[in-house]
Amino acid sequence: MKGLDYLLAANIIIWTGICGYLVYLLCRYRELRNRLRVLVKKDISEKAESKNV
Amino acid sequence: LKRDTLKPRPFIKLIIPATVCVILLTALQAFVLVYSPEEQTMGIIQRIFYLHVPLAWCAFLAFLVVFIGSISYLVNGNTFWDNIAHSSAVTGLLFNSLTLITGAIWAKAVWGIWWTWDPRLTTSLVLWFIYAGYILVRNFGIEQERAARFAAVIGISGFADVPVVALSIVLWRTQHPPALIFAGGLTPTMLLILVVCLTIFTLIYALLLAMSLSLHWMENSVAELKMMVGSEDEAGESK
Repeated sequence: MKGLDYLLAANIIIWTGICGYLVYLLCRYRELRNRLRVLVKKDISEKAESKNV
Repeated sequence: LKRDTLKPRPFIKLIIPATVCVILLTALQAFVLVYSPEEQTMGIIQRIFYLHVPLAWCAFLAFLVVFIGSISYLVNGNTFWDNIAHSSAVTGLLFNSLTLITGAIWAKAVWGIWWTWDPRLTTSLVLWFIYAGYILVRNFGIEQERAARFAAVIGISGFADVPVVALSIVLWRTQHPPALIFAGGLTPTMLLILVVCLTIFTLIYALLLAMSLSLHWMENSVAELKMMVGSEDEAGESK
């Protein structure tokens, strides 16, 4: 391997590491946002039910 | 239930800082590849220096934040500090891993070996294990508050390894090159590029920390709402 190959390998690993972590954070964000939406919907329907009663 | 509590806590839209991170990182790598001057002894491989040193700096900074956050959590008992320490530990471990990998690549190109049990390398690996242990304790399945306290103790005691890593090149005879920045071994152009890289990597660290922290706040919001709403169907919520 030449020096440039090593340098490119290091760059690719850094890019993959940081972008991989970003993807993980975005996936977790999506999951939590969906959970919050479900909980809010559930609360609204519960409120509506209690009003009807 | 008040309407305010049902809304997610104000958190930054993650897609914006994520995009900024990717742009900054790509621009930084292009900048290092195109603009940095070629060093006479090592040639093009020396350019790893502009990535390896800022990564190590960010790891140290992250572990300092863990140290401060852990002390504050043990003193105040405020989960805000615990969240900061946890987020910073994960980010710091990422930067530490990348430091070790880029160091190994550099070592292979210059020394002809991927790894040697040199004091600097070994203490850096110990640092990695300490913070990997910190994260393992968090996910060990014990009660959350106890796990946070255990992790805070690791966060404080583990920081003792950071000065050891930093001073290892002075304390022991080592194969690792000395700190050229303080010895005046860099040309003004090299120093300028290093400062730019340090700034950008620190910015990336700050963005990653903010993003991770906002996720912690969202997790807390979910937990609070679940208690208020009395949700039982946890498995179905994530779908």
